[in-house]
Amino acid sequence: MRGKLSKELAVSKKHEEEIARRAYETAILKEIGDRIGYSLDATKIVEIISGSLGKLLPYSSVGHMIIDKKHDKILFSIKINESVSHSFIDDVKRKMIAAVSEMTQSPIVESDIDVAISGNIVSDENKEPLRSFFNLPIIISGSLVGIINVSSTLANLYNDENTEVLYQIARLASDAVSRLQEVLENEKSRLSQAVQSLSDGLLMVDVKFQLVLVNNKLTQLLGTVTNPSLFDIVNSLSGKFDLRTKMEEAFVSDEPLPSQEISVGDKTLQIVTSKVVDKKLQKPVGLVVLFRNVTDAKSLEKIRQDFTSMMVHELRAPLTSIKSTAELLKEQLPQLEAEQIISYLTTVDSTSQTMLELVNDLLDVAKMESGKFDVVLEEGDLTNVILERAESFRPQTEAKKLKLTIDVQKNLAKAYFDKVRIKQVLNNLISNAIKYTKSGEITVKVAQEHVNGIGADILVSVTDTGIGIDPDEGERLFARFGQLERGRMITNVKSSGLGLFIAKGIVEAQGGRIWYKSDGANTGTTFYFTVPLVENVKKGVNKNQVGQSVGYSTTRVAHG
Amino acid sequence: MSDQADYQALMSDLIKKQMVMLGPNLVLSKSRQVTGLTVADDGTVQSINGDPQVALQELVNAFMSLSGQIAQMTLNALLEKYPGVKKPQ
Repeated sequence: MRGKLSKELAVSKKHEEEIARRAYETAILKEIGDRIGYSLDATKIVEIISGSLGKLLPYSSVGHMIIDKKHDKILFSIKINESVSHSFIDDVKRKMIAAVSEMTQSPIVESDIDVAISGNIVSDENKEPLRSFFNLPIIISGSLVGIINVSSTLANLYNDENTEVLYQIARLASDAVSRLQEVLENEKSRLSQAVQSLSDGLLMVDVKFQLVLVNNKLTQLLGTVTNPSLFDIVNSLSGKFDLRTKMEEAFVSDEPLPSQEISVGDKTLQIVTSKVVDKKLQKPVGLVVLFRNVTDAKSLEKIRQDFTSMMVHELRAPLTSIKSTAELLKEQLPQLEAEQIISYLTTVDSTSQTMLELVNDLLDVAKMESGKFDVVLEEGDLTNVILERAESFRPQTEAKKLKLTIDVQKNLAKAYFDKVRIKQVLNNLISNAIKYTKSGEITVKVAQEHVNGIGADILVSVTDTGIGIDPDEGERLFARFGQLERGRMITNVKSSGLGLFIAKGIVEAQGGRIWYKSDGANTGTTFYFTVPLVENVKKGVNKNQVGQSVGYSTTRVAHG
Repeated sequence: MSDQADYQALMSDLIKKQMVMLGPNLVLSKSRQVTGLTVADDGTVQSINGDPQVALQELVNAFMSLSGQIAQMTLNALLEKYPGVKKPQ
């Protein structure tokens, strides 16, 4: 009976111990969770576990070694529970060094260790040596961050049973922090990729003005070395923007600083400095400086302004002319001869025609931009169209004493084009050639291209001996409002700058290509464009090009 | 060296290293719970009764529960020294 009772008591005691261990495990894990939060500070885990041993185990000292990779140091801290000697502490330290060396597979120099001793008195009169110990490694994301050592002057004190709960806690805490670290690393990596892929330059500093991050775009914009220091960045802005002062101002200012524009090389940068505030703590934790490249926006703005003033001029001049002529006719009609009246009305007609063409150009551009530009493609003979258009310019070439040569290859194969729109292309190229040529010759040539002996497209070229085009001038030639500045100045001719943009749209909608060649200023220019052969379109050679590549709608008119 | 001797040497090395890393009492206590293993106080495996692969697996599991990846890394390094020993799961 007594035996049964004592057996039950033993079971009950064991059960109580198990419950106590579980309670301890839960309490420690909760404390770790509460205290470390999202800081990922492994030191805190080590401190919490080593500081919470309490009465779980008998021990003389509990210590920990933290590996501080950032400063290449090891921090050794020991808390004395029962008075021990210096030699006991030295022995603990040696055993921990041996353990860390074995775990990291790298030797540890004692001078790299910072020591902190706390707790009970260290007395060398106490001769009790170290007789039992165990180490608890703390591993986060596969790397050792530190170890906890529990030591005693008593022998054979620690076994798997009484230490199991500590290993369990260490493992669970490590796993939790490792998972959290993984999540944060992924987030950090995503954030870093996002920052690197920004189209704006960006840098961030902490409260001590230490550079936290800088993206590649900023090094490109400022032309600094890769991975620049803050000094490199400040230096590259020297004389243009006092970055240091602006950052200091932003830190103390409650309101965001107004953005500022500066010029760096040929770029215009807009700089926005903004304070990063920790919402929870309500205090600044750093500064972000954003460098936005507004060069294109500025240049577009200038183009828009130029375009508006040009349009006002283009419309105002003919409208004034029409109005004056109408007034004159109204006031002096009875006195005017029939021939004079016809002459005035002819002026009104041609002036309003010019205005109409300009308005039509604007409408075409609007259609092209909205993808609603339409071409009607038909089989036809280019020869007559080219001859008719080129000849129509002869009076103008003669007036400027320019030689006009029209060279059309005989028996051209049938082509596929919009019979109305192609005239717009020819008008634009030939009128430009005349406009920008003071003396010499204009040649309009049409021939069939051959690739490896096989008929390709029909190639139309308009060559002049005019002002030519420098390579850097040609970049925007086919863009909207892309009139050459030099052309405008030399010839004093202002145009809408829409002609070549429209010509390109028409040629590409027909499935052709348009380009130019010039050896530079004052060497003349040749503009080329191609028109697909009917034969090739039927074979499907140009099937994917006609209208598709530029997103315009095409209508095909079939002929018997 | 026979396979059995290889197993014995590898397990001795593993136990001794774990004793340095985690402390002798705990490691010896864990090692001596492995079925068929006789371990001296210095960590030397004196004999293996039964399938050495099973004993090694049990020993590795015991150490993994204490030091996880560290035990795994130690084992991997030792396995290179004893190519005749099959890697535990």
